[in-house]
Formats: sequence, C-alpha cells, structure tokens
Amino acid sequence: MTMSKKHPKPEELVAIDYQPRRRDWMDPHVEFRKGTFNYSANPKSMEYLGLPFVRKWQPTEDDWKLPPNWKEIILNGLRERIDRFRSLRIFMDICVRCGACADKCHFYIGSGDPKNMPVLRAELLRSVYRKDFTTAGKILGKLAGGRELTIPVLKEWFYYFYQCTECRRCSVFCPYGIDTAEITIIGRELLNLVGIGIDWITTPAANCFRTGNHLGIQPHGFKDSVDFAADDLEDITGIKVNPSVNRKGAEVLFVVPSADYFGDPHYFGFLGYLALFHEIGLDYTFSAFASEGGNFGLFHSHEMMKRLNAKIYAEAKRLGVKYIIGGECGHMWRVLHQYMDTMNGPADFLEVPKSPVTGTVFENARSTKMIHIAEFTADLIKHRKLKLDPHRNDNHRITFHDSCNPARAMGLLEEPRYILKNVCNHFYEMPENTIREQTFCCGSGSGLGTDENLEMRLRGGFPRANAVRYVHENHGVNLLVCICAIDKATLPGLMDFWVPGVSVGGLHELVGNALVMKGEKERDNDFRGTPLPGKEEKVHV
Amino acid sequence: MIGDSLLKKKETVLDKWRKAIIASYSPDASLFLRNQKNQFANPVGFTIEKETAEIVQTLFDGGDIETLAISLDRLIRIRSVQDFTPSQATLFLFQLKRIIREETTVESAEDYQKMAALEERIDSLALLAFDIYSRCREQIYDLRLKEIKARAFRIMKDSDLISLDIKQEGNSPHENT
Repeated sequence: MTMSKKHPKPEELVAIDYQPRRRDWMDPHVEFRKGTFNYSANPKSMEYLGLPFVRKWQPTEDDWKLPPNWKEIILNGLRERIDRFRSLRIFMDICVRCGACADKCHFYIGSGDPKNMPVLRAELLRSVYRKDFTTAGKILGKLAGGRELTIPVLKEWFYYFYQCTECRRCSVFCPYGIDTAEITIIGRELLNLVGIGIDWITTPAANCFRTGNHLGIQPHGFKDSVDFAADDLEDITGIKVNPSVNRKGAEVLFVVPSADYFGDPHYFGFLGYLALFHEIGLDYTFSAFASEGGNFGLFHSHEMMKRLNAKIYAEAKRLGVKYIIGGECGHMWRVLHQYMDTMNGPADFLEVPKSPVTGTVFENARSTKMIHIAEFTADLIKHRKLKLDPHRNDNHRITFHDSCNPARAMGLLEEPRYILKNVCNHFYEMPENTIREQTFCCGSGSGLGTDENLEMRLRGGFPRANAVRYVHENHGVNLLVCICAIDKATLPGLMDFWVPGVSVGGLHELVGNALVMKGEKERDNDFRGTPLPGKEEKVHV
Repeated sequence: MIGDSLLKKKETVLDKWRKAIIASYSPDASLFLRNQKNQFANPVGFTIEKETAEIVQTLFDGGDIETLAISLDRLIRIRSVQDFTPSQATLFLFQLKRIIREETTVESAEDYQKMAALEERIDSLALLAFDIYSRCREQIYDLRLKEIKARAFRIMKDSDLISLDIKQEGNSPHENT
C-alpha cells in the first residue's frame, strides 16, 4: 500500500492477499495453526510401550529432535513394508490420478485444502516411494513425480496423515480400490519409527496395554462401574440385573468399548445392553481385562494393534466361553472383523456363534467367532422374542449415522435400521449420498477425537452435520443415532456447533427404552432421566 | 429501495461476489467449490451460493437486514473453522461493497444517497458478522470443555475408579506444551 492512496481498499487495510497463490503440490510447507493439529505423545506413555526415540517435542517447534539417521530408518521402514504388504506396493504403483477420489474426503470438502484430496494425500508418500524405489524416479527425480524425503516432507506427513480419519469413503469411489486408509496407516507407522506420534493415540494405547482399556481403569474399578450401572438400571426399571465379571464357564464373553461404561451418551446404551441381556436370560460375562473393544493400536502400527487385540481371544479362552459378542463401536469392528482372525487366531477353541434364544447360527462369524450386538438384537426382533413399546421413544425424531467402520468395513447396514424401525416410530434417512457405504465420517475417527484439534474436526465433520441439518429442518429430526463410541463422543459437539437442537444417542439406548421387561415397574423416565412421553406432568408434580 | 440501474446489476454483483468468496480458497479447490452443485457433496459451495443470494436479495429489496442473521451465520460459521484469520473470514462483506461500487455509476444526489444508505446496511451486516464470528470462536472453546467433561463423566463423579498413576501424572498433553 502506498501512502499516496487516499482510500485504501478494505483488503489492503487488513493487509492480506485474499487470493491464495497456487502452490506446487510438491512444496511441502505446512503451518501448524492452533486447533488444527494434535499434540505429541507423552514420553511416559511411549516408554511404557517400549517405543523408540522417546523425547519431548511438539509439532509447533522447529526442531523435532529427530534421531540423526531418521531418513535411513524411514526409508528402510518403507522398503520393509513394501515387501511385506503387497497391497501397499500396488497402491503405490497403480494410481492413475483419475480424480474420482478427489472430492470425496470430508476434510477436503470441509476445508478446501487440496492436500486433503485423497489422491494428493497419498502422493505425499508416493512421491518419496517414486524417488527412492522406482527406476524412473531414481533417474528423473521430480520429473517423474519423485520427491526427496526431507524434514519439511516429514512434517507434512505428520500434518496430513493426522488429517485422515481412515474412514475409507474415498476407497468406495476409486476404480482400482486403492485403500487410502492403508496408506495413512503406513504413513503413521513410518512416523512412529522415529518417535513421531500423537498423545491421543499413544496414551490410550499405553493405558490399554497396562489395564486392558483406554482409560486405565483397573479390574476393581471396572467391576464397580458395571455394578453402578446395574443400580442405575434398577432405579429406572425396578429390576435388579446381575451382570458378572470374569465368570468362568459363561456361554458368551461380552466386550464393549470402555466409553460405554464411562462416557456420555455411551452409558445409556450400556444400560440398554444390561437390560436386554437380562430380559432374554443370556448367560454372559464381562472380562475386567478385555475391558476395551476399541483398539488405538490400529492407529499406531500393525504390531501395536495385534498386541492390544490379543487379550480378546486370550480372555475368551481363559473364561471358557463359547463365543463373543461385541458392543457398539466403530474401529473396534474393523480390527475384529478384518484383522483379529489372522492376527491372533485361529479361535479354534470357540464355537460358531449361535443365538441361545432363536437358534440362529451366525455363519458370517464362522471364523472370528465374534458377532456384533446389532446382528444379535436384530435376530431377536425378527423372531419376535422381545416385547417392545416404540412409543416410549416418541420424544425422538431419529436419523441414523452409519459409522464408517461398521458400514464400510463390515457391511453392517440393514441391522441397525431394522432395529430402529422396531423400537421407534419416527425414523428418517439422511440423503442417500451421505449414508450407508457413502456415509460421511464424524471427522474425529482414527485417534483424532481429542480437544486440541477441535477446529479441524469441525471442518471435517461439516459434510456429516450438513446432512443432519437437512433432516432436522425437513423432518424435525432431534436425535442422531449411531453405533460407534467415537461418534458418540464427538458428534454431540459437532451437532452443537452446526445443528443445534440435535442430540446424539446409541442404538441400544433406544432398545433399552422400548424394551418391556418382565416384572418392570411403570417407567416414568427414559435412560437419561428424561420423562417418557405422557409422563411429563407426573414428574413435575 | 436502490435505483433501477443497480437492480439490473443484481446478478452480476452476485456472480462477482461469489467469485471473490471462492477465490479465498486455494485455486485447486475453486472448480470443485463452484461446479459441484449437489448440496450434500459440496456443502461449502452450496452454502456460499444459497446464502449470498439471500443476502443480495434482501439488501437490494430493502428488506430488514436482521433477517439475514441466519444467512450470515451459515457463511461465517464455516469460515470460522477454516484456515482464515478473523479479518479474512469476514472480508467478504467489504468485498461486496467494492463490487457494488464498481458496478454502479453515481450520477445524481439521489443516487449518492441511495448508495450511502446501501453501504450503511452492508456496514451493519459487517458489525453483525463480527459478533457472529466471535460467538463461533467462543463456542469452539466451550465445546472443548464440554467434550472433556462428557468423555469421562462417570469418572468425574467417582474419581476412585481411575488408576492412581494416571491421576498423578495426568494423561493430558496440555501439561507438556
């Protein structure tokens, strides 16, 4: 701006160039703006897990205190993984940059940052692969799309591989089926080799390794919380349920994400599980050691995932159960459905799951021996084994958010909807390009659901919220139901910000509300303590 | 009501304004933001298209600008969580003034008065925009707190349930930043 100008234009006054310059995608510059990135791993948690290069550092610092041979470690790590995972080599070589994935990522849609296009995010790693692992790249370098691995490139990996929630929506649209989540997984694994990890993944993983759950709850604490829930349920229903912990010889081991017995609104679904299992007389037990279905190892490395998952089959074996049922969780099911069998199986000491109430054999779980509670409950309803009063959920106008992993990683699309239609009277689908296989992520999965990066999560969650807003405005939807612990933790904030007036709940919370239990007292409140429809006045008197 | 000459320019103003807003994003994203018309596939682009139309319409029709609070909220809420500074996030209203000036020729005292009145209305919108932006940012901090509390609401009721060593050391990275 020159002094001779009498009337500076507004954009000059604020001294900005409002048109961002087009940058070469190979330029690795990133700015760690507060609210957009995750804090580094707590050294104590790293030590507990025996991770390498334990130190204090933060992404905003210039010096990340990398080991002197960091580059060699990463390139060797990449070489090793390319040999080990045929899929990775294919994903590195096969992309033709058709662009089908480009506008499918919720972070790209919400931010407009080109490096959130899945194709470009993958190029961050692919360019280094080309430079060091392909003949063309070795000779032609940048001309062949190759890029030298430098510290700015490493920082860029950190920034963008922690802006991918491994939701796999982009993969649905890729004609070659490139799974960008796997590229992110490898990118994070490589970073962890030089001690670059985030705390929201590492500390829950360390807690999980020590006590069996993310929060570090010890067995007596776990038992207390289950007993506490039984008391709460008795207050609401008048029925005393007796869930057991570590009981040998039970027919079923029941594994839930730990948020179910501590988080809000997860806890209300936990009450629903207890009510349901009591009502059908299921012979089940919890394990105070397999007290976490979630597995943040998936977001760290294949090795960590295997290590944290081992407890599930180990506890099933120790307790001598016949099969396993799992609660409402997202990534937990990706691990259980796609990895557990080959990582820690075969579970040949277990039996193919068979409902003791309906006799249904869950052939789909013939190998893993573990079924999702939505499959189990849908089967009960289908066989008319539950007495349900959907009017009890009449205060809710409901839509269903397909949690990424149950939907895309295990195809659990119909069961939750079937249950919902039986336990409530007002159910409305969101637009079809935002549900089922095309569901939009909450923006907080894969270990990103913490507070310091909330701004980034609100960006990434906007496409989801936008679709909820549509059914809120058109159908008066006021409850967003989901079957994932991370969703339940993060969607309430997303709704408060983008669609005020919509709460978040779990599937089995509604099942529990609708379930008419034998010998129950007249219920005045739902599981949240809110008066049931028609009971409002009575409570206020 | 603004003069007929400007009313004729409504579509041009709107188009230029939208282009200016889209230009605040990376050039690599602008094609997508402009061309993908599905409101669920491109909520940011859709919001820009819909709400700018609403704002220009009301401004030109002489409608009550208080009714534009929702449109403005929709636009600013998005920008409040994107990579913009507060000034960048609200700049678009000042750009609207510039675009209108560029598209209009003031030929009479009456024109001048009408233009001044219109600009005053845009200034009022700008003030409203500052309020909305601040409210959005405050809300982000409130949400951070609310999430932390909800995350372990049972633990907060009965802290004996958490293992001692976590309680002493804390598992919050805030402590080492």
